[in-house]
Parts: sequence; C-alpha cells; structure tokens
Amino acid sequence: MNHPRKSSELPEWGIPFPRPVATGTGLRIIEAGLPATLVLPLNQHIGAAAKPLVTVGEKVLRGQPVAATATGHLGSRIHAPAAGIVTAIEPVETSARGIALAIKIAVDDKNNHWNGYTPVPQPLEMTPRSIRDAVLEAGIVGLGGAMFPTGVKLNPGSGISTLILNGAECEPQINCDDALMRHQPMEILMGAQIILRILEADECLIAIKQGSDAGSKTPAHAALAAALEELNDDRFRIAIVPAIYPVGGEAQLIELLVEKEIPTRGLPWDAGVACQNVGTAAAINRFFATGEPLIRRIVTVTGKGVKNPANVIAHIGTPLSHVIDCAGGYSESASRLVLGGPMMGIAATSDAQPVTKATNCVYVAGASELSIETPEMPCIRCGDCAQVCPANLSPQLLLQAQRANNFENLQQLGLMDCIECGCCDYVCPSQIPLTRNFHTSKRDVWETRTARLRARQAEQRYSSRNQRLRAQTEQVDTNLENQLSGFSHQAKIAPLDELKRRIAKNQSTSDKETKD
Amino acid sequence: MVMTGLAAVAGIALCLAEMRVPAKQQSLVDNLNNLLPQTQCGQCGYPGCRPYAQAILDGAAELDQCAPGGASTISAIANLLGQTAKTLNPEFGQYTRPAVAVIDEKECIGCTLCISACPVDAIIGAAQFSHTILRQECTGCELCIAPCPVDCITMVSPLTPGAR
Repeated sequence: MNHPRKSSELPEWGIPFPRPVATGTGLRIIEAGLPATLVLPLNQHIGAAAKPLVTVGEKVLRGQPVAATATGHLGSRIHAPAAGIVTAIEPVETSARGIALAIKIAVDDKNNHWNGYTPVPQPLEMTPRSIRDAVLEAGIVGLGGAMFPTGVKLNPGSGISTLILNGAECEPQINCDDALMRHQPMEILMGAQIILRILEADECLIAIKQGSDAGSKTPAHAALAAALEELNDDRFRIAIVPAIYPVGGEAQLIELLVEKEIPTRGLPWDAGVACQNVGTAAAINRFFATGEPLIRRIVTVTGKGVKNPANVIAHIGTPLSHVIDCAGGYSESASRLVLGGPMMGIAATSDAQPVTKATNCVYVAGASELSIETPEMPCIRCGDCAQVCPANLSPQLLLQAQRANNFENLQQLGLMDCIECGCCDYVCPSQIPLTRNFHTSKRDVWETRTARLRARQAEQRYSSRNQRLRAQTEQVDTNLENQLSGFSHQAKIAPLDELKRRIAKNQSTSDKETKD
Repeated sequence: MVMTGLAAVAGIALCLAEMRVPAKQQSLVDNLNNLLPQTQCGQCGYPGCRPYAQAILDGAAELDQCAPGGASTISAIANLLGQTAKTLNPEFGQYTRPAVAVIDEKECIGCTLCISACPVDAIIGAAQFSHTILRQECTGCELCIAPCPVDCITMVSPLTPGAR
C-alpha cells in the first residue's frame, strides 16, 4: 500500500493560490428558499439527456422523479425539487451544455412530499448491488462539477483498495465543499461508509487542503477530525494536500496521494482507486437517511460583484438571480457572471439560467477582478507553461501544432489529456489564450474523429447496397433465362441474345460502381 | 556456387512473395478512399468515392473534384500523393457545411423514387406510404432531392434540434 505524501512535498506543477479568505464567504451557509419557478434542464449529467416522465399541466410532488434515464444510455434521473405544476417543457439556454430541453415547474406553497422513497435505516446491510441501484435512482451525479452518474462510477468491479474523498477543491474562490465539511462532516463520513461498502475497499483517504498556517488545523479539518473520533472507524484517514491549483483535479489528486499516474484514456480504477467528491458522499447519505434524492446542493456565491458572498443551499433549478439575491444581490462593480470559479468557469449569458447539479460556484466578477485585455504577443518559448502544466504537457508545442493545424501532432503531444485548468494562461507572459485554443482544438479533433467514423459506416452501407442490387439483377436475369428455356430453340435465340447483352451491360456498370 | 544458389533461392522467394502480397496499388486506393468523405454523392463525376479514388490513381481524374470534402480533403490527398494542393474546381460544385436531408412527411406521396436514389440506404418507406430518412445514416449527398416529384425533401444542418 502506498502511503500519502507528506504535505511538505510540493507537486512540480500548478500555481499556489491562497485559500479563498479574501472574499470572505466566511462561515456562513444560508438557505436560499424556494423561488417561484424552477427550471430543470434535462442534461445535467454526462450522457444522454433524460426523458421527461411528466406532461405539461401535471402536478408534481417534492422528490418525485420527473425525468428518467434514456433507455440504454448513460444518464441520470431528475427529480422535482419542490411540489408544483409543470408549466412547460421547452428548450432553455444553459451555459455549459448549450441549449437543452428543460422542465419548468411553478412552485406551490404547500410543498407536499412524494412518498415513493423511504428512509433506509441500515444501508450498510444492503448488498452492494442494491445500494448502487438506489444511488442511480436518487439521480446522484459527481457534484465536484464532472456530473458523471455516480451509480455508474461506483461500478468498477473488484480490485479497488482505496477510496479518495475529494474535499480539496482548489479553484480560488470556491469553497462550497469546505462549507459542507465544516457543517456536515458526519453526513460525509456516513456517505463514505456506504461507498466503501459498494466498492468493498479497505481504506478511505479524505483529501483536504492545507490552511494558510501550516501548523494549525483548518476549521474543516477540525470538524472532520471530531466527527471521525465519534464515528470510530479506523478505515478513514485525513490527508492534507498543499493549497496548489489544480490539486483537486481527480488525476492530480490521485497522483499526489497514491503516487500513481492515470494513463491516457485510463480511469482511476486502473490505479485501484476510486475518487468521489465529498458533496456526492453527503448526497448519498442524505438519500438513505431521509429519502431525499438529489434536489439541493451548496453553491458558493462570491466575487466582488456580490454584496455579501456566501455559501447558499439552493434547490436544483433555482434561477441564478435568486441565489445572487441571497448573497445580498449585485454590488455596483458587478461586471461579469461566471458559472464555476475564476480559473475554469464559463461565462453565463443571463442570470435567469438555473442552478444545476454541476453548479458549485456562481462567481460575479467585479470590474477590478477582470484581467485587462492585453493584445496577445508572440510566444517567447520561456517554458513557464510547461512547468505549471499538471498534465505534463508542453503547451507551447501544442500551440505550434495547433497553429499549423496539425491534428496528428496535436494528438501525439497529448492534447486530449489537457484538463483545461488554465494554469498555462495564468503564467504566460505573452498573454496567449492557450486554454481557449486547446479547447477549440479538442472539439475539432472530436469532430474529425466522428466524421471519419461516419464515413466508414457510409462506405459500408454503400458497398452492401451495391452488392444487394447486383444480386437482384442477377436473380431477375436467371429467372428470365429459366422461363425462356422452355421455348423452342428458334424462338428463344433472339431474346436470349438481347438478355446476354443486358447481363453484360449490367455487369460492367455494377462492376464499375463497386470496383473491388 | 553457394552464393549463386542462395541468390537464386532468395530471388524465387521474393517473386513468390510479390505474387502473394496484394499489389501496393490496392492499398493506395484504400488510403486515398479513406481520405474521401464517403458521401457517395457522385458530384466528382464518378459513381461513388472509391471509383473516384481509383480514377485519381489511374490519372483519369484530378484531385480537385471533391466538393463535400472541401479544401481539407484536397490538401490531404495532395499530401498522400506528394502533389501540390489545388483549390476546388468550381465545375464540380461548391463546398458547403455538412447537412442532412429531411422529408416533410405530410407532403410525401410515397413514390419510392428517393429510396432508389439513396446510395447508402438511408431512406425507409414503401409504395403509397410516407417515407422517412434515417438521419444517422444520411451523408448529405442530395441525390434524393432531384427525383422527388413533390419537392418535399430539404437539406438542414445536422445541428438542428432532432437531427442526428
């Protein structure tokens, strides 16, 4: 068994960011309450969009499933976060995932609960399989932002020795996981016990970030340590990781904690490790303890563009404007709305967009937080980008290949391993928007790959159609010949010559069509 | 003496190998064909992508005749053959963004003409019944548009909701 590194050993990549104390989301968690309308996009997970189970005008109850996983596809269920009436099922704009169909629910004030899910007092006595099915049913997806259906991720077969609970959120400004660890450490640990039962793993490492003062415990560390003492489960260990961005990336965290690198296109379980966000663990526990599926999450609302930055417990589907109001509303300097943190977040076009399962942070940048638009300058090959890259890539070589439109070379240089963390942009003295370039290139590579695949399929269909057509004409001709063979020699000689000409002609045209 | 014998054996072996191994020309057709978009649209003047690839190798066709492939396909072919890339010959059409065909099923009279025109069997339906296009399989060759007697087939972007 590999032992965690000591916190003094710094990784050779990344950027040290101070903990997000500056904007002072402080120790507050506030309940956002219910807005008048909830908007539930059907693609809040990796995989195919969910299929609506309800129709317009139908009454729904809190916790009732309103959309199911598309049959035969990877996906997740979606539940009504509150009781109400379905007012529309129509396309809405979502920043991260484009235009998607969404179920809109007008919330009613009585808020009756759906009683299809009941609490399970002893989830640890269930079989791993039935726990996994329940997790799928609860619509739980990776809450760190990846949105991968958790029930699927927890199905790696055997051979997992270590569960890593990822509480090391590393984007400057985001601290919703930190808030969760401070306020509900026991829920996280009990959720982790359920995950350990599914994976049949031996140990659990809880990764949390080192405080600014290395000697003292952070509040999250203290809360977790106290809860661990109460739980008295010796499978758990707390691993302190340095406050370096992007240490909370799955591959980066695993590399740091168990010193195993995840291969290209590999998965954590190739290294005998499973990694889950702390929020996901808490959501699993909540489903078993209370029967509440994934309908709420903690969202960090921060930035100089809001008056009182806070961590907000918001229902999925709540408009962003509502959670921003909970944080005191916009300040005067508010100038850009971002979903996610300042490093990897995506600009949102409107605050009418809903909070989704993936929304860990709403960042309203103030005017002073925006980088000054400087013109891009030539690459001076300083190599700073390669030094900070957590995926061990060389962004400057990638940029060269990208400018030469050399897809082969881009892929050889590991473009697809880029996690788009933005470290290279941050350090680039020439202000080259490297990550943006790589993002577009990745899409181009994907498009080329799918186009090639589709071309192969089209060619197969084309050649099998030609074979079929040739077989058909041959069949018709033999039939004709058989019929004619009954006639006298003189009568059949003329049509037969004609027929032979036709066969020859057909043969040559179809040969030409399907040469080889 | 020994050397001569060895040389003779090696020579015969090489000759046999030459006969066994498929001609190199064949694999070049494959490589060339792989670069073509496989729309099977016939705009190049040949009945499909592979015949066009063969024609290029035979010297019968130029490498600037593939409209749906556009500039990137032409430069890829030029790369493979070690020739200079050209711009698309406008005689063979214009490059357009990929599209898929859609049948307006209310207008369709069920004549089956488009079905026999489709080179990749992407249209299903029967006589007197409305037809429909399997968008996953449609290559956007537009060969179904001309035969339709009621003009109920249109080309749409594959990004249109519901397409693909």
